[in-house]
Amino acid sequence: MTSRTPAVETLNLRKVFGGKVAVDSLTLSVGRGEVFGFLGPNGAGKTTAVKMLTGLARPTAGSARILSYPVGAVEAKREIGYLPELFRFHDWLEGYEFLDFHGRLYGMTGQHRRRRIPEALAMVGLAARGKDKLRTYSKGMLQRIGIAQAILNDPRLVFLDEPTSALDPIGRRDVRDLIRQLAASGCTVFLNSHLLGEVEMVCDRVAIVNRGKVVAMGNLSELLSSQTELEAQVGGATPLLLDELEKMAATVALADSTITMSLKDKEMVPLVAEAIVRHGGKIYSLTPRHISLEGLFVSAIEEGER
Amino acid sequence: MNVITVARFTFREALKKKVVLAAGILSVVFLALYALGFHFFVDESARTAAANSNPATYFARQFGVLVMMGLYVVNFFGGLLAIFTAVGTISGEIESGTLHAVVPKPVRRWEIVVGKWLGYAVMLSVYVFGMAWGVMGLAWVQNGYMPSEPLNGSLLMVLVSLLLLSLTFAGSAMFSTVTNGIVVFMLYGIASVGGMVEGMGTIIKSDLLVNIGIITSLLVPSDAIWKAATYFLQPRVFDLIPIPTPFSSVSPPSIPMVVYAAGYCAVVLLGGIRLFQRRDL
Repeated sequence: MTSRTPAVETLNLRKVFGGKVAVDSLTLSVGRGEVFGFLGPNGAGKTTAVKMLTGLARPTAGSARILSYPVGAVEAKREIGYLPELFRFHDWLEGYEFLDFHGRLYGMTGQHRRRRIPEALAMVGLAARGKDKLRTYSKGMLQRIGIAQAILNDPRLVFLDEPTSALDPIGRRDVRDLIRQLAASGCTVFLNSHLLGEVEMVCDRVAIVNRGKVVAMGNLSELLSSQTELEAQVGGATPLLLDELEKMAATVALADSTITMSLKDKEMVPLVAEAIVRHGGKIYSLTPRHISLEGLFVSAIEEGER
Repeated sequence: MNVITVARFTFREALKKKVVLAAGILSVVFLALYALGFHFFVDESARTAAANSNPATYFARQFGVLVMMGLYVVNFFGGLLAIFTAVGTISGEIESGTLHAVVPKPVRRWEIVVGKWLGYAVMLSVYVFGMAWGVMGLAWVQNGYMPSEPLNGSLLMVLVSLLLLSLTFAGSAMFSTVTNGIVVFMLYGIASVGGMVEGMGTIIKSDLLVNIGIITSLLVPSDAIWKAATYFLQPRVFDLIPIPTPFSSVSPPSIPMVVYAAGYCAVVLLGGIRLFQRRDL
């Protein structure tokens, strides 16, 4: 499924708006057929990065290639689909007409459009609404028709920027199924989201960005097993103890007598226990567990802030 | 192919705009009132012409003035329609986000701009040409009067609206929708005033005023082209009255100015394309 050249490849991609760095030295590689999660807090530069990759914004520096073509090349655009974060469309069109216009822009023949448009409408659950004006659609339906225009050309790479932000739980499940269906057909999915649960359920690999920089990237299961979340019931925790634990862990949080911390390595658990005892603390329980994506996300962001 | 797709889409979109619907209805109302006014004017002129020493010249002058006033209004409507239908053609779509799904398609940015321009250009050309011939046709039906060179004149009127359309497109790639509307409308006004200043300079033989008018014409040649159109549209008896008015011209159109205006359209549109290509969405 994965060919030699990556679907998306960026090298030190940078974007500056009027002195403010939105994306700083973004280097990443997304393999073909992957479902790639691009995560980060609000304002981290995710949407700007996607805009550069889809030709909506020009990089200030660095380079990027999409399906082996330079970013913005018409050849690459022919093979990609894109759902913008702010999905606003020409609402005087009917759903079918809207997809017909985008199909024409893709250069699809009339016969191809007549076959593919009903398929795309059915894939997003709008088969019965193709003759209705977009202005009569709900926000969730607009997001669905936006996804339909993004997959209309059977893309080899699709960028979905927050594709479930307007959807109810059923709609979110439908989109997850659609993403899995796209991946099964060999399409690379670049999923830009801050809904970690969604990402955890569908993504093969993730990159976490903060302040325009990648702070963690890799195979999702490996990343989750690379860190350990430790919950310790401790009596007599002193500020000095917490200072020492902060040096050992990416994140440390104290609530009542419970200290929660994320550790790089499970082998650090005995060192944590030793430090607690050395500072006069009493250990009632120590519970190590695999870190959740949320824990990994917070840990990566906070570590990057240091 | 993409240019045609975008042009067809833009043409359809333009027809859906309320401003176009309102302009269409008001234009029909204008033609109806104009026909009525012309009808009563013809009756009145028939009575007063009998007392005139040269009734043929009298008729030509009277009807010529009336037709030129009608065409002046059509030219003004064409300019307004060019500015206000296309004012947000790029900026408005960037602000609303509708271009975000279009630009990543396999379409070059220049194709989007040229396609949109063509869509509006067809609509404006049909409007201005149709309205100009509507005014002239009403005069012809009622008393057989037809301007001297109606085709050349009406084509130049179309050029005026295309010129303003190109200017509006360039502004839309540079400014927000509201700012663009204000800037282009003011430039249109400045061009009209510049034309009047040049006319006054001609009457009082002031090179300074004439030069101010020429410079204004180079900045925005809409009034200069309208004046060129009036020469073709006014009755030849006007040639004997060397006093320029907003509805008439004292000299034949300058071919270099017409060529300049056509080139101006192209250069300004190219400028708009260049700006749009560099703009982050």
